[in-house]
Amino acid sequence: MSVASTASGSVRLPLFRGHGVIAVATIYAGLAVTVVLPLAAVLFQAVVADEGLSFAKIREVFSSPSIVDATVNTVVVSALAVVLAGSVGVTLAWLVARSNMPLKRVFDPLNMIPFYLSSVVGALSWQVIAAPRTGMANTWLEPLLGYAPFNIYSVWGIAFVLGLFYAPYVYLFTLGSLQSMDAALEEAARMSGASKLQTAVRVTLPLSAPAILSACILVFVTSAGIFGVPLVLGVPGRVHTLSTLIYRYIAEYPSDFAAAAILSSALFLFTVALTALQMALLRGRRFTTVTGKGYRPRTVDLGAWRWVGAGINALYLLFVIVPFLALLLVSLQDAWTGSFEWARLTLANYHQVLFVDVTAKRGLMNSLVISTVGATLAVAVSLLLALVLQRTRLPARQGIVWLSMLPVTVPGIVLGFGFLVAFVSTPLYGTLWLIMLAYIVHYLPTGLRNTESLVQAISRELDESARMSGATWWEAMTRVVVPLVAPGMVSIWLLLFVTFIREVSASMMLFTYGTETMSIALIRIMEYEPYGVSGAFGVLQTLLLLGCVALIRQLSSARQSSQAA
Amino acid sequence: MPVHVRGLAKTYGAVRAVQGVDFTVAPGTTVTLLGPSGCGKTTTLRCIAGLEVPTAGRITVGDRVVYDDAEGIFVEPERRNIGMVFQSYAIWPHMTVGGNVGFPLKISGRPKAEVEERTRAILQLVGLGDLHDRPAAALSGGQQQRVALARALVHEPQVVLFDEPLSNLDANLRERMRTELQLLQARLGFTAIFVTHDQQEALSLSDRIIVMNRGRLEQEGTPQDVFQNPATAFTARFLGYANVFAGEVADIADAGKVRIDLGDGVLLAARWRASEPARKGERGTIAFRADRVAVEPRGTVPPGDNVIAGDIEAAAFLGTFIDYTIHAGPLQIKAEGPVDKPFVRGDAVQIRISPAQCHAFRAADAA
Ligand SMILES: Nc1ncnc2c1ncn2[C@@H]1O[C@H](COP(=O)(O)OP(=O)(O)OP(=O)(O)O)[C@@H](O)[C@H]1O
Ligand SMILES: [Mg+2]
Repeated sequence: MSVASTASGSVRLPLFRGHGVIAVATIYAGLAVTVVLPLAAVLFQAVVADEGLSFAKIREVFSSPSIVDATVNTVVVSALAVVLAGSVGVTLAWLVARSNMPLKRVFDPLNMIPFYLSSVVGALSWQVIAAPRTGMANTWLEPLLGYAPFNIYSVWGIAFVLGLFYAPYVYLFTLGSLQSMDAALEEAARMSGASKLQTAVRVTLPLSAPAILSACILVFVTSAGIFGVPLVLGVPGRVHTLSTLIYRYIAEYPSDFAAAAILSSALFLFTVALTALQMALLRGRRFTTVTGKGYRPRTVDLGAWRWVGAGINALYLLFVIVPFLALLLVSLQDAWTGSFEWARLTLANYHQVLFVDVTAKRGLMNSLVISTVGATLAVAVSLLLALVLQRTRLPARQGIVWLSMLPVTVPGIVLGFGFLVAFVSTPLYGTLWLIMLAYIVHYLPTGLRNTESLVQAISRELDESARMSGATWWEAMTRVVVPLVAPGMVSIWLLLFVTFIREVSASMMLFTYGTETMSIALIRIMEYEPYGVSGAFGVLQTLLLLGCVALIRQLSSARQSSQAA
Repeated sequence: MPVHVRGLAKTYGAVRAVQGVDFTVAPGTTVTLLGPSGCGKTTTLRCIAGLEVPTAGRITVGDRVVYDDAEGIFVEPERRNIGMVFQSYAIWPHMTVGGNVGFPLKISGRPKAEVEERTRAILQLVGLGDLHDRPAAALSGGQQQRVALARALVHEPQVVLFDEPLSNLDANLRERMRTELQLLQARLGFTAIFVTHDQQEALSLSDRIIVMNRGRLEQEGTPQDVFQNPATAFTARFLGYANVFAGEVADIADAGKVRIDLGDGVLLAARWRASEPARKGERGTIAFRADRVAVEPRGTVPPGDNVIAGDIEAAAFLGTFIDYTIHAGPLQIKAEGPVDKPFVRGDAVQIRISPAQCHAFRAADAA
């Protein structure tokens, strides 16, 4: 019988019974080791030198000119990426949600595709198009213009690729906000004499402003912390951002952990501050605004302009797809001469990455193992945490939320560095498991937030009635809640799998010889294999990711139709 | 099995959902918690179920203490052996009907054959004998209600809790389920605690009614008692007393009879319902039901006690009676009259209410 008593006779007694306390203590201990320890290690390393507390190093690091350059580059790249992603995302969202643009239903899912793809492969494929002199666009335009107009190895190039890849974030947030908006607000504006365009600009967009702004901050934060794209596009042109500089401090001999820690801390504090701002903007709004109302906002008749709208959307998709097609062409040639030749058609590059090149083979295998096992563990941890948070009255739950959400503010390179500092002298270092742990921690916020909204959608009375039928808490969870969230959990698993397959930043800090992941292997073989080989590897990764995307869509549409039934 | 609730309190942050409720449910009887939305009915029920941890008080089921704040006792819901029917029915959509109903038996580790047999038996009893293998996701509201009922009863709990189980059904079905519930209870002999804000349901189902108001117990008694002798203006208003007016105690006769001055010289004799005697001149509230008001043409009855002159302001035909709104001095009185001799708007009438049907309360009681 679960009767407990204490001297104080507190009425909260049932909350503190044995297994509950153990569960909460275990969760806190786990989060302390995996979330707090790595971040604390970075901050500690930044201010404590061999001689004790010291700010001299900080002053030295921040007065170096390369830091100033890198900081300026980071801010400029992020700002440009926001401008591009913001204007593209908002425009496409408005076209899809509020206009009578043709082919909307086709465009809508396609617009989300970059969300799932690897921006490193994106960067790789843009090299095919816009590398100085050798890029296709340059070789075509140089005879006409007399000079090669594009240089992807620049701040502009990095920002351009990032903007293209992050446009779906803005698109998604804006679309959600536009679709949940009451059409009466816009109709009122029309009735007061505003034109269609005026209504869109003066009423619709301001109403969506918090969502748009928040998405823009997210893009800024992500761009400021991103590592893969600046590594591929920046380093060849000696354009450094803070993240590539952190990497250089560690990768170059002699490595300077203190400097890396100082930069990491600065980057981390910066992204924390911006994320706090973003959360303040979203306060009071739920991410899952599933109202039963189902507004069908009236769409705006664009007349002939609707074809222009479709053209704009198609142009965006072309910018996403064409470079991948170019990469595909390159990967099918035994040597790249600047244009496709049937005579050079070959599958040798694929043979090379699948069966010959050990780094590529290892990277593929490692990533499949890490992603499969890691996504499974991440889903299990997310589910357990979500059940504890949503379905118990255990004390100190809010602290669990804060700690598990903390990694969302941390750039992968910083988290990876934290794991390096914290675990370098443990046996975990140099194993796939440490890399996997870093992934799980980094994407715990993604997994937990999605899982929590699944659990929230299950009425509490369903598990309460199991309790009243004699089931323990655990039985009520495993027999009722878990089976009901299981279909949604499969989609979350796939999302995490996709994320893990393409991860770059944390892996870059943690890989050792033998534990290269797919993205690391791609970056490595770009250094020593012909372009076609890395192209083939990039194409393979992209196909793998696209397969997962197709599966995710398939599952979610199956779920929707079964709910509708 | 009897249920005792003593000094039950539950607060959510600053919200005091239940504040010191005491009642006892005798074995095999039905008690209804009745009250307006937000008065704490569900919270009380969930505390008895063990789904909420109370802030203070003591709850016993049979002779077992399931909660006591002073002794630090809290028994988990699954150990209380209480059945519960939820307002949403809470049917598990991923199981069959049989899976839902058999769950309590399965979870307690009964042998498969017994689970099957008892599940079929209880489904038979609630009239769903042929639905055993049907997926639970595809049931009508009434069928879901029966499945929820069967599931709450299958493990033969001594106490069953019902949180507005009939509120999602249409009127006809609701009436039928009401009767079926009573038959089931007579047959199985469980103690039932029922939550509703529908007074008809409360009156027809219960052995005793507990009227709740803002987390407190307002009145307790048999349905007849509570309905005919509301103890407070709140109860009167909640039980459909359409005429509730504020006034002042004008004079006090013996045996708890008072006259309330409602202004403009309108005085009504009434029974004083507060426990302490009335004081002359204090504020009071008077309440009487619309169907207790006799409406007659002006001048047919000599003026006397509780006869007031008025004019018909509105008349609405409602099938079995006519609903009148009568303007009488400072008052707007609701009355019900027979359909065979209707008055129309503007008719001069006089109304008469027996002093025994008028209840007077101390003004502070009026919530
Ligand atoms: N989990 C909770 N957190 C905070 N306040 C709550 C919670 N549950 C109930 N309350 C508050 O407690 C009060 C009583 O709620 P309760 O659900 O018991 O009312 P009720 O009598 O069942 O009403 P209804 O007829 O609407 O179901 C209300 O003011 C409600 O807002
Ligand atoms: Mg309720």
